[in-house]
Amino acid sequence: MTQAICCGECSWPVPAELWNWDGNREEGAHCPGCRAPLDVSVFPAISRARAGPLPQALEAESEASCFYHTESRAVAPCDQCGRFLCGLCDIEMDGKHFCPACFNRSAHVETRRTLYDSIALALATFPLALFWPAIFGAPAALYVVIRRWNAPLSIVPRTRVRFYLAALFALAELAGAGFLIWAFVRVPRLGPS
Amino acid sequence: MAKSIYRRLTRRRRALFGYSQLWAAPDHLLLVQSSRFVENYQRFAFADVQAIVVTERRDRLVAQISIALAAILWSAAALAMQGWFGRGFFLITGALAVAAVAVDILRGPRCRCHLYTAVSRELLAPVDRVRTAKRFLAEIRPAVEAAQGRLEQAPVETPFTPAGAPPEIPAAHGYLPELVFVLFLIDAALLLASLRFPRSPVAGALPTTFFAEIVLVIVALLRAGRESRRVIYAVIAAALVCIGWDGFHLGRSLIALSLESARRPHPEALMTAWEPLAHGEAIFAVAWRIAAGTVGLVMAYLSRIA
Repeated sequence: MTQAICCGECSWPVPAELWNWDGNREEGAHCPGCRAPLDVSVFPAISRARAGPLPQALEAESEASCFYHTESRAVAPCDQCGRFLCGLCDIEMDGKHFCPACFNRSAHVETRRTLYDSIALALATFPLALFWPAIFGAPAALYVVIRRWNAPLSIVPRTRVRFYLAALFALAELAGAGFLIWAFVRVPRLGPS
Repeated sequence: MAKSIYRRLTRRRRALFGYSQLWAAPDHLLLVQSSRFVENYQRFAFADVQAIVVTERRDRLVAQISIALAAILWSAAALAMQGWFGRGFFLITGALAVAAVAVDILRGPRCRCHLYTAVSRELLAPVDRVRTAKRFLAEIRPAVEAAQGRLEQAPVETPFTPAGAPPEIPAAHGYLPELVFVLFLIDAALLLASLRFPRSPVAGALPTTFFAEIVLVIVALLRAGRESRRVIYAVIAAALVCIGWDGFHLGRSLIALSLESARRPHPEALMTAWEPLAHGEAIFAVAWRIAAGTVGLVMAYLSRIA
């Protein structure tokens, strides 16, 4: 059975008559549960079977068996390592067949990235709010900028402007700190001598 | 720099510690969830998208107008200020709050957007306005249909859909309105006591109880949508206007006190002689509190026994 398409407000299942409701009709589609206006776009994948092909048992000893399930009949070899695979282990992608191990090795789908440019900018700016911690934040920001300059940024379009800003702020803070130290050391103390 | 395959679909939906955003690639949808320093990615292949459901949410015009009125009253406090700093503070913060409400109203009705695949039902947080949802669907629907084709008729084996509307669930009435009305009566008693015994420390408690009143009234009005006792909430809304009036005079009195105490070498005597509200204003504050508290409690009682 296909999964139920539910209202986003009350989770009441939306009947099939309201799927792909024609927008030209006078009255829009409404949830039968909470009467909230709905726009339900359903696509042919809704009728696709959820489960893949089940593995078949070996019928004769001469039949090739799956490398991972020795009692299941092999249906395809892995295009990477050549191991025989049953219907359960066979992963088909772009017309090629992979075993789970090879699929894991070859698949390079990033699900997470660290944004070093944002870290550098935070190190350069946040400590400045408390003034003195900037003495430690600025060198740390410069370190991150230099060390991670070539690290990949986000996978969506993003410029290096945060790196530039972080370096600029950090250098300005270091220059300011240097000037303050110089002023304390060099300028003679005022007052009665 | 290599050209990215991603095209921006929505603006960033910002939260306190990050944002989320939707991007489109030639064959999939990318949901980016950022916590400022780390981005997490979720991909939905166009070939796997089963459905996209956009549900319009209940409007909150009453709450928006209440907040705007409160912000205008806040800005009006600038009139009672003497110095430029005080005036500027009240004007700027009030204007910012009004602007925030105006932007919220101009962005249009809110919605929730869910994307269905065979194994998941994902809330697309960046699609939070009906206008954004329309733009999003106009871009995504052709891409999904290019990958899958059009659904000409619903599948023979349709999911379970119960016939008719679900049974009405009676909303349970909370006791917050009753609490607010009791607080009105307590404040009326405190005000009367401060009028009768001007040297007593009762007046010092009034700013605190006024603040509690404001918070409880706003919370009660925000929760009003869940209840059916409309008349009770109309009384509370009217009380909010009166609170604004009292707050205006109380603020003016406090500012005058602080300015006077700054001038005097020994402000302690001034503090003990302080009257938060002038006689006429105090009588008005007592009268409306007694009226609202009594009427509200009687109506709440009647609605419970009905």
